[in-house]
Amino acid sequence: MNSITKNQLAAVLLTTDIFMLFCFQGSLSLWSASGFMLGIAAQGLLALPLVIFADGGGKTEKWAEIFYLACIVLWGGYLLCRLWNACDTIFVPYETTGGLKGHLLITGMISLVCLYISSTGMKSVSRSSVIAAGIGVIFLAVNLISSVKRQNFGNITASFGGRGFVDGLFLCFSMSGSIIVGAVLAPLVHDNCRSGAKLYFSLRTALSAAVLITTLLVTGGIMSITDFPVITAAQLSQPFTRQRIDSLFMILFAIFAVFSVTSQVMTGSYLLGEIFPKFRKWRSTAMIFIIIAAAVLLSGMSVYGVFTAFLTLTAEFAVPLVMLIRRRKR
Amino acid sequence: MLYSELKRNIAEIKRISGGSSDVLINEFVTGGIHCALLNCDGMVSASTITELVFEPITSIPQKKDAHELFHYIDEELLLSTDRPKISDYDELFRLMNSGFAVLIADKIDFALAFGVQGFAARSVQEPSSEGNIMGAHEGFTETLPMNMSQIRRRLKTPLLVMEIMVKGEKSQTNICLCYMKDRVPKQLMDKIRKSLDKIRTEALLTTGYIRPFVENGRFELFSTTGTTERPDVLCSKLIEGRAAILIDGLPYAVVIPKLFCESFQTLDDYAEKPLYAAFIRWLKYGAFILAVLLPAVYTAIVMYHPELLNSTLLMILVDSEKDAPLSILTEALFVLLMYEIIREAGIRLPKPSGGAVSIISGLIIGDSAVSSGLVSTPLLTITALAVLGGLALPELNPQITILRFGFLLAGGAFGLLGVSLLFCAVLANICSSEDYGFPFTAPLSPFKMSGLSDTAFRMDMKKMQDRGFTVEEYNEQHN
Repeated sequence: MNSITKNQLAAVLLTTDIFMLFCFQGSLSLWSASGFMLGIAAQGLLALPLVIFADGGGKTEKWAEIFYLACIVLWGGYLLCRLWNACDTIFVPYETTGGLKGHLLITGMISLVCLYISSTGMKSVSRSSVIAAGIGVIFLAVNLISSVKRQNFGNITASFGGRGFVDGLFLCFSMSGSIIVGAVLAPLVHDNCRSGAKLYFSLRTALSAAVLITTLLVTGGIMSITDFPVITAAQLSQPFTRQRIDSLFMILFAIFAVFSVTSQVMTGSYLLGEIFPKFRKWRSTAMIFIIIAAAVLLSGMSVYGVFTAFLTLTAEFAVPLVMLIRRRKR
Repeated sequence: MLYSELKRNIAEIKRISGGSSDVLINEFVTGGIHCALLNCDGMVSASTITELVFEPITSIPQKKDAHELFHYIDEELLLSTDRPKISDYDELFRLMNSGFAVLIADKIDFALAFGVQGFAARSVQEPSSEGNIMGAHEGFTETLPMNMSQIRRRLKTPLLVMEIMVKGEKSQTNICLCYMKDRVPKQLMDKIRKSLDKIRTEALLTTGYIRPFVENGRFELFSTTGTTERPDVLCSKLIEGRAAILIDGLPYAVVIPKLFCESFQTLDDYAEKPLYAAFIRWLKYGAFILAVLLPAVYTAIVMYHPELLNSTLLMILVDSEKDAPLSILTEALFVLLMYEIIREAGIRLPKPSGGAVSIISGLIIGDSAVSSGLVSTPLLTITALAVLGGLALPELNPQITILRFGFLLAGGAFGLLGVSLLFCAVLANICSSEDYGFPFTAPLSPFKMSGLSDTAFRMDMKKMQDRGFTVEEYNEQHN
């Protein structure tokens, strides 16, 4: 039987959230960072119907499963697009990762690993996500500590010209596709889902705050000319004078990338099984291919932000609320 | 079924055994009844059988019939403590070939067996594969009753149950399922028995003949059952609610289930102060990571990420590698393969030739390969460190070897990206390992804070005794 613990749910969602932060493009200001943090708090409140529904032993309805599946395909494709964008900057050896050939290589390798991991089952993915998240947090801590020398409080004012409070709030919702996975997995949490949600939102707040503040302090001054401020912050944060540690960040990036995509594939594969009970074999493979196809389609579009924010809000709040009302009526 | 005529029974026994020379049939008359005592040559003690069986049996007074004779022998003579009745040939041969003397008589269709085993067996010696400083220096032997007695000596409670069963179509090997009945749930024992019922092999010659039947059938890098050569270690596992299987003819017990963290624990941890024990544990965690990842990370860094090295170290490496004719990946593969060949040769070679292996390997690897420039000194140092790390965890050596090569190839081909991706796959494989509902990665994932007290650290024994830990705490099927 597919069931996970609250810690595992939190870990699965956090890996995707942190990965999205790494892939964040554009500029950031103190106000937008505050908006981002408030967005997390708002999401915590909006998740109440979902938590009540899950703790009440609710089973996701068929129409909702189809909706979630569609969301996961789109969000998975979006994740892959962000990965393609970021891999030119981060992946070494550079000569093999640039251009279409490089993207294909990266996609192929990550897809293979994701396919294997998701084929081991939901329990295994959620267990490994806990360890991956733990390792990720350690690496992140090393990165943040190493950035202390490079931090400059003057950078905060320098970035005021960037995005504002509302932009940050919107950014938070547009980067929270992991909530869709959370909406599917929440009813499968066999211990208290409410404390799982509390754990997730508090950890997400802490980690996001740490990453965003460090990024502001390190890259605030050059934010407008950097493609990926968080990655640039990691690249600029060199604790030693005679060597660089960028590659350590790459390990972190790769681990989070794999587990982010895997959580989409695993959840999509689970939903495929629920919607089409006779479809037993090749579900993960089918899901990988569908997500890659979605990524190819989405790579030419530029309406990501509005689109993903809408998906997130609907999946997190509207769908569980409707299911909750329908269940109460029954 | 046995016949009621002695001659027919003897003829059948000879037919079944094919006239095997070690089947000894002693015909005699006692109490006025024609009898035969059967035993297997070399399996019984000559003095025991003479003193405890032949002498009393041949001085039995006249009896009315064979039934009265057998009743007298079984109820009044008490020739041995272990004297089962036999009614078929399969059982007769199994017991006779296990060192029992079997008495058959005319006009009776069953036989009496007497446990008079006296075959040559290795005495209790220090375990060869599980070194220990402060604990007992006794290891299991190849004799099942002796191994059972070693456990019973340490756990005298009646709650310790030892169930003997016979497995192996041809070998008819006795195996003993041990567990504490207050610690292991009945449903778990039923599942284990069900798994053992699936064994259809012809012989049980090593633990590998049994372990696949009690393990999850999926592709797992690490084994979810453990083995131990030490009775004291096995007792600690039994107290923690694990089950064990002892196999006659093997000085190892199979422990079910095994967790990943157990590979880093030894009995000495509990003999030392907690702080030192925790230090040694972390040293072993580090050794495991070094053993698996060091050659791969070194290769990846030197080939693709030299910026990770500081300039002094980089210059040393450049200097040593500039004359090497092979790529670093090839060099690393060459050195590791050489090590594996030497290790294998060291294990398989007859003891007198063992010295030759050390000389040849020392000369080839240590001197010629480096001085000829075939292998660089830094790479050799890195490989030696990785190998040394693996030696700190002999139980995990097969897995470490495979992973080391896998990571080396991934690192050599795709740098740290390859290492990271393979790490994710290996992590998932380890996390998917599960046996009877016990996750292999517990208590790390699924996370149990209380479990860390004997994994990340080593809790004080005073606190540990109140904890009453059983491995059942981690079971995801029953909880």
